[in-house]
Amino acid sequence: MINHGGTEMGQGLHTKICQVVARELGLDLDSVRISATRTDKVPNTSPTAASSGADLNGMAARDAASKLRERLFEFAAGHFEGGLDREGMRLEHGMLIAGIGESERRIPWGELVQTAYLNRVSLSEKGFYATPLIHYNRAKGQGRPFYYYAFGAAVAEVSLDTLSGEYLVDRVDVLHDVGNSLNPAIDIGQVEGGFIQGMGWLTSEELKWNAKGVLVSDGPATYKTPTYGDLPKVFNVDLLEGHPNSMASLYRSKAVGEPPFMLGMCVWSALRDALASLADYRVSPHLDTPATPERVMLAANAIRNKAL
Amino acid sequence: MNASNSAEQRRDQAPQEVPRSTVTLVVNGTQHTLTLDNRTTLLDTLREHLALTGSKKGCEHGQCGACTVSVNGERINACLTLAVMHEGDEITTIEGLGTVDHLDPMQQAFVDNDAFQCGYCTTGQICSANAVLQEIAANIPSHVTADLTAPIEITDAEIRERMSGNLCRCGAYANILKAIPQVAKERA
Repeated sequence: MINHGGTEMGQGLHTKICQVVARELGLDLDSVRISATRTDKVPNTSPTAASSGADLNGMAARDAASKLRERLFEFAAGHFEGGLDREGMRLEHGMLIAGIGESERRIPWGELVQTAYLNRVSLSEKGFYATPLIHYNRAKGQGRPFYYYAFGAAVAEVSLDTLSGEYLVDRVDVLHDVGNSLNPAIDIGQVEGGFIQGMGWLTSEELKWNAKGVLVSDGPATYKTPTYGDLPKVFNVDLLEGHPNSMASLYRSKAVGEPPFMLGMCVWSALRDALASLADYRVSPHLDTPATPERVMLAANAIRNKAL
Repeated sequence: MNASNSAEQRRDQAPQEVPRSTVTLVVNGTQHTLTLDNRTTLLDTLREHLALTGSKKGCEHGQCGACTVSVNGERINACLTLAVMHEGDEITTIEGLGTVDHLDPMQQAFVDNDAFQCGYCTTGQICSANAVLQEIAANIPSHVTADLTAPIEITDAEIRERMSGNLCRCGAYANILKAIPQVAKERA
């Protein structure tokens, strides 16, 4: 059972935390349970924000699980008949394994923890993690605000109707860097979702205020978030492989929540490029964000009027 | 005149009774007879009076699709209809589709394809997705149906068009678009 200070909001954090504990203790994922995130268990949590949920809570879970593992090793080395070789002791496939070759001993996880319990060994542990190296001097404007950076590249193809300003995203290819992925299925989902949100931010999601300062695009009827038709017709998302995080993050992974959001810029850039084609790419079209069909049409008109 | 007096006055001026009606709904196979304020939406009836909170109240004006349920076999935004308009109607909510132990094929397909993230829109997506396959099977054309005389094929374009009333803020569309054809294939 693991409890951590991060909020699961569909980003797969609980799954990743369970994976960390399972990996540290050599257990199946099914053997690890999570209990609800509550401040009566982990008070004063950091917000699950800035894409740091897995980085922070995963490392804290790893810290706790590895302390527990070391304690079980110490216990096992001294307790079991004949003594177990402390060096090289490991937890794998639901077993504690000690020694090699003929002297190898295997003790099932259930037996290990039950014996430890009966011998009054604490089976709970707390872990903590603070991102190292980061600091920032606001007065001087100097420091290192981030432990590492995540990278990504995206290419978009769009076709647009220069008379109505309507457009379609025909194809998008994304390559995103999550270091060593903690869970490729979750990470690809995060990249896809982040991209869609970023695309919506720059294309259809328009905040409009009236003369009195009242927000008038205040619901999904007027504030258009992407829907099925907006998903690129061809949408390929891949994770960059073979590039572990150069910093000692959680298993050399990288944050994945927000970074791919920025990749949505390629759709806006492709729209500008399509508009530029109206003047044989000799103009840099003015296209405010979000590039709604209305703005695309006005931009097309402006180029045409200039060309005439 | 102080504040409490004016509040009292307002209360005196308010109508003594709100108009109420008795309606019988068959929800997930169980008959319920309820006496409701006439203004109660079907969604609020399900959520607040029958404790069926699987149907979600996203936007409350028929734009997001999170409240999609089936009424007499057709999908409907439960937030845009009043319960008293549905005397005797058969309503199926996500709770009537499947259970954790016996998932509806569409629920299973969503799980198989990782077709949700936060899950808020998911119940509406699943109810809509089932209806989409039924509508195509019944040869009901959509805006993107090219040939109105031929049997409608289950294409990506058809599914996108017919699902466009169900928003997913997490942007999990790509995987939902994998889940729906999986069910169609299983049924074929």
